[in-house]
Amino acid sequence: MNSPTPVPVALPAIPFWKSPVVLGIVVAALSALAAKFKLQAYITSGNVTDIAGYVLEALSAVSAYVALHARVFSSVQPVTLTQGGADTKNSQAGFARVGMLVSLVLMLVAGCAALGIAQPKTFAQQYATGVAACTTALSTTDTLLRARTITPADATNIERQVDNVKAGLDIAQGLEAATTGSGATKLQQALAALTAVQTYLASKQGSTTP
Amino acid sequence: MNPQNIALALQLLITIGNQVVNLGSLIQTAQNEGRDLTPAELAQVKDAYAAAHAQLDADIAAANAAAAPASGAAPASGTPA
Repeated sequence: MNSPTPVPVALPAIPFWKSPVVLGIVVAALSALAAKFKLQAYITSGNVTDIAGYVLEALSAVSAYVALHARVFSSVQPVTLTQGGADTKNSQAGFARVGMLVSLVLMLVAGCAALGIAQPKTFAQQYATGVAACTTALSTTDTLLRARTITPADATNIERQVDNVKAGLDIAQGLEAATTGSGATKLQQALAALTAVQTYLASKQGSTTP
Repeated sequence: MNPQNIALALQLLITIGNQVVNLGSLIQTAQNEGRDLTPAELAQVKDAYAAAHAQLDADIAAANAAAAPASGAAPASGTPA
């Protein structure tokens, strides 16, 4: 990503964990997220028919995101990742851009859960979810590559790891086709490997290539 | 955020959003109808994976071409700076 253009400020920068506004929004967002996951069980069981309430929750989440965006990118008093960053920088550190992007995606996923998108139950549904997660990992890698957050070599390595996960999923599908129930363990192993790839991607989201 | 970052955020939002919604729709429909995913529906998920794979391959190739020395390396096309 390009270096952010320093903006004039009126107050010295502070780390994000010293900003009451940021902390308040994050706590509220986490509380809302926990409530959504709790409600998800009722939604998938078909006991909840009033979608309007969940649409309102989604709108509240959007409002929270807008408020968080406004605070993080405020030119009045920037927030930084660390106290050291606050001491040495008097302009936006730029760390928050990818973080905001990731939070936006998390809110999207939470919003989909709140609106009742079904959870996978059968092996085929879990397999499809695994393949879709691989697709998401590739799309995220592509976006990070185009943003120059990762190098082409990084992207190639991640792609190979995702390919390995996809191969594991396909093996699990083959095992399941041969004997029902035998592919479940392999499926879980492949998904565990995918978690490692996602962790790697997350570690790269805060960095930039030279 | 500069316009490029906003565009990237929107792109990721739309891409992943479509994937989540499409998969959720497939699973929800199957569960509502009391059946499992059909081979055609599984193929649809696999096709999305193949498309994302091909797109990443193309962008890796373009990034490598752009990073190559100016002597003899053609500039990448279709990749944002």
